[in-house]
Amino acid sequence: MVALAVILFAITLLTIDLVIQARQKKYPLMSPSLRSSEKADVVRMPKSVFFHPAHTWARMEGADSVTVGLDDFIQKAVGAIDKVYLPMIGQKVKQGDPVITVHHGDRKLMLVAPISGTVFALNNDVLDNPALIAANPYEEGWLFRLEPELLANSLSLLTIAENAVSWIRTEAMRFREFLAGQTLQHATLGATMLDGGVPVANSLEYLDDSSLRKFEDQFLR
Amino acid sequence: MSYALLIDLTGCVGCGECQRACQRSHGFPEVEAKNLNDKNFTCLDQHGDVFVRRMCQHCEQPACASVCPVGALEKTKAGAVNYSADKCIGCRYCMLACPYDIPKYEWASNNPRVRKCTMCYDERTSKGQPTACSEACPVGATLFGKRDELLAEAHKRIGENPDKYVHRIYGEKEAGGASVLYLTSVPFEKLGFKTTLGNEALPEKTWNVLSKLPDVVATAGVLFSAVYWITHRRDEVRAFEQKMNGKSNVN
Amino acid sequence: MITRLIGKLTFWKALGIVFILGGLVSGAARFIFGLGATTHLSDSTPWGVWIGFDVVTGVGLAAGGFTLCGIVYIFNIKRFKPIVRPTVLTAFLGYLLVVVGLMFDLGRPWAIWHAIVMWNPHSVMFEVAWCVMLYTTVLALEFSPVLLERFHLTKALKVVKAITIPLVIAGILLSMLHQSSLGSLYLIVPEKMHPFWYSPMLPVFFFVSALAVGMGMTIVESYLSARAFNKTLETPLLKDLSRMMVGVASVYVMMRFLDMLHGNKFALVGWNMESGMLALEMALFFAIPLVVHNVRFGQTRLGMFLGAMSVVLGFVTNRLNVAMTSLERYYGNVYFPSIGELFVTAAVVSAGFWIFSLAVKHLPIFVDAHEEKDMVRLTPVMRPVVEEPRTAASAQA
Repeated sequence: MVALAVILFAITLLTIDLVIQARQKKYPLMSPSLRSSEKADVVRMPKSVFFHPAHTWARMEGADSVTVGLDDFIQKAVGAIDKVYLPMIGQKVKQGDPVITVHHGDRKLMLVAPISGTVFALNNDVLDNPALIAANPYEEGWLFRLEPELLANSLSLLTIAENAVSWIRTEAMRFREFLAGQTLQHATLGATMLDGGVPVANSLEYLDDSSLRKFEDQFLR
Repeated sequence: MSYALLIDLTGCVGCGECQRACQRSHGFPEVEAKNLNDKNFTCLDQHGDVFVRRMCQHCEQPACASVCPVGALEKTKAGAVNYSADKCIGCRYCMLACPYDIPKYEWASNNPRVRKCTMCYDERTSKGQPTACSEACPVGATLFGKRDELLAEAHKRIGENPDKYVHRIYGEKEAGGASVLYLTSVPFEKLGFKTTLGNEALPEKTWNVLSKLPDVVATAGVLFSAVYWITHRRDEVRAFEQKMNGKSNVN
Repeated sequence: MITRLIGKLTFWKALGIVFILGGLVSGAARFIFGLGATTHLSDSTPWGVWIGFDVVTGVGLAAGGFTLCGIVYIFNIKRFKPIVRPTVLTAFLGYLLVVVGLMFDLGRPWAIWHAIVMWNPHSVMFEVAWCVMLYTTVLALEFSPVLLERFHLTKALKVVKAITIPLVIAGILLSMLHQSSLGSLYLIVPEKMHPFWYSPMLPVFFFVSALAVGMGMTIVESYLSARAFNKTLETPLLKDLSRMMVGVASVYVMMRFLDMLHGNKFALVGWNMESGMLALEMALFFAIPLVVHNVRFGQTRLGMFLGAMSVVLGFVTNRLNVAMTSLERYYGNVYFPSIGELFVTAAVVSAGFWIFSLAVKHLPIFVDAHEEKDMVRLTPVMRPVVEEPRTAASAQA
C-alpha cells in the first residue's frame, strides 16, 4: 500500500514536471540564462595562463615547471579530438616548433610549443582519453610539462588576461572571415553562419584538405 | 541458575488470577484485557475449552536482545529477558524482531519505553523468588522453578500420561528454546502457537552474516587496493611506452 | 511586494515550501504530543514510513557516492571525475537527512549517542549505526576539498588530498557493509515476511541493487542539475553510466529470479497484492530501463533521465516492499502513514533539494561553475528582450 502510494505520488510529480518542461519549451525566452547548446560560441579564457598566438597556452607552476596545453578556441574549432601525440620526455622543444599532433577522424593538425624548454612530464590521462581536452583544456586537459629555457624571452610573444581576451575576439573575427572565403564542403555551415549562429564549433569538419592546410598556416603558426 | 515457568494448559481453568496478580505487582489498573499492551504483560486466549497464557517467552537466545543496538535488552542469568529503559534509544527493532510479537510500546508517552513481561526480575526472580503469576495461580497451572528441573517434570508428566499429553514441550527447542514451557493435550498448532519457527535460534540467521563481515572487509580491502595498484600501474606503463614511441609519433 | 514574491515562485519552489512548513509543524507536533498521537505507528507496525523510506530507502539512494568514487579513484576511470563532486555532495546530504529522519522516528532521540558507548556487536542495527556514522565522516572529508578550496585553506586541502585513496577505500568498505546490512536487518523475521522478499540472500540483494541505484541517482541528479543550474550535461559519461546501471540491474534481477526459483516461490505468484507489487518492482527496476536503454529515445538526455528515474522508482518500490508490503499479510493490518509522517518525509526530501541547490550556487560543485567567469562570448548576444507576463501582473498590483 505504502509502496504503491509513494510510487504513484512520485510518478504524478514526474508527470507534472514533464508537462511544465514541455510548456516552457514553447517559451524558451522565459529563462534568460546560458543554455548548453549556446555554449559553443563561448570560449574559456582563464586569466592565469599565457596564450601563444598559435592557440597553445603555458602556465607557470614553479621556477622549473611550465604546463602546456591547447586553448579552448582551437579545441572547439577542431571538434572532438580522438588522438593526441606529444613530444617525448626529455625532448628539447623550441617556441613555435610544431610538436603537438591532434587527430579528428582522419584529419590531422599540428600545434606549436608555446615556449622553449625540455619536456619532463606528459599527461597520460589525455593520451588515454583525449575527451578530457574538451572537458577542460586548462585543467585535466593539459598536455605536457616542460622545464623552460629563456623564459622571459619566450613570454614576450605571449598574451595574458585582458590582452588575451581581445586577441581571441579578433581571432574569432578572422576565423569567420577565413571560413567565408573557403569553399565549404557542407551547405549547413554556411546557413548557420548566415543565421549569425555558431561560428566556431566543429567548423573544421566541413573544410576540405587544402583549406585545412591553409587554416594551419594562418592560425596555428 | 536459570529459572523458568512451566505452564500446563491441561490444568488452566482460565480464572485470570495470573493476569490480575501481574497487573497488581506492576501497579497497573486491574482490568480484564484480551491483548498484551504497555499496561498488561500477560493474557489468556481461549481456544475451545483450552486457555492459553500468552506472555514473553524469555527465549534462551532472544531475538529482541540480539537486535538491540545498545544492549538495552539482555538475557539474565536468572532466566528473565530484562529491559533497561535508561539504555534504550527507542528504535523498536525488538518489536519487529520478536517472533512472538511480545514487546509493546508506550506510544502515548513522550519518553516512551518498551514494555513486556519482566519475569518479575527486579523484585523477585533475581532473588530466587517465584513470579507473581505462578504464586497467584490457584490450580498450579503455572509452575516456577529451575529450567532443567521443570523440563524434567514436564517429561515426567508426558511419560506418566502419554495418552493425555501431546508429546512435545513447547519452548524446549523452538527457536533455540525458551524459559517459558508449555504442556498441552490439544495440538499446539490448533492453539495459535507458532509451529513453523524451527529449532534454530533466530539470532543465528543474523550472526551467520555478521560473523562473516570481518572476512569480507579484509578481502574486499585487499582487492580494492590491488585494483587500485593495477589500474594506476597501467598509467605508468603507458607513460613509459609513450616515452619509447614518442619520437616516431612526432614527425 | 507579495505579488512579486509569488511571481518568483515556480511550482517546485511552492511545493517545497508547503512540504517544509508542513514538515516543521508535523515535526513539532510529534515532539509535543508523542509518536502515538501524531503517527499511525502501533504495536503491530513498529516501523513505518520514517524507517522504511527515510532510512532504509534513503541510505540506498545515497549509494551514488561510493559507487562513483570507486569507479573514478579505484578503477581509475577518470572521465567520470567531473560528476564526482555533485554525487559526493548528494550522498553526504542524503546521509545527514537519514539521521534527521531517524531523529523523528526514534522514541528517545536524545539517547542516540548511546550507540557509541553501549555496544552490542550481535546487532545489525549497531553495525549499521556505526557504519553510517563513520561513512558520514568519510563523506564529509571527501567533500571537504570543496569548502577548503572555497576558503583557500591550502594546507588542510593538501592533507585531505593526500589521504584521498585510503578515504575512498574506507568509504567503499563501509558502504558495502551497511548497504548490505540494511537487508540483514530483516533476516531475523523469516516467518513474518512474505517469501517474495525474505531470503537469506537479502544482504547481497540490497548491496547489488544499491550499486545500480547509485548510478541511477547520479544520472538523475546530473540531468536535474544541468537543467536547474544550466550546467553542461556530460552526456557521453551518463550514457556509459546508464549502460552500467542496466547491467547491474540485470545481474540483480537474475539473482532474484534464481532465489525465486530455488525457493519455489513462483508457486505463490497469482492474483494478489504481493505479486502485483513484485511485478511493479521488477518492471520499474529492470524491464522499463532495459527497453528504454535499447531504443533511440534512451540515447537522448530525457530518455536517459527517465530510464534512470525508473530504476530509482523501482528501487524505492523494492525497499518499501521489503519494509512494509512483505509484512502486511503477517500483521493483518494495513498501515498507512499519517499526514504528519508524510509531511515530515516530504520535508526531509525537499530540504535535500534545497540545500543541494544552495551548495551549487555558493560552492565550486560543478567544475564548470568557477570557470564561467573566464568565459568570453565571441558573438554579440542576440536574445530578444521579452517582458515576462508576471511583470505586467505585478505592475497592475
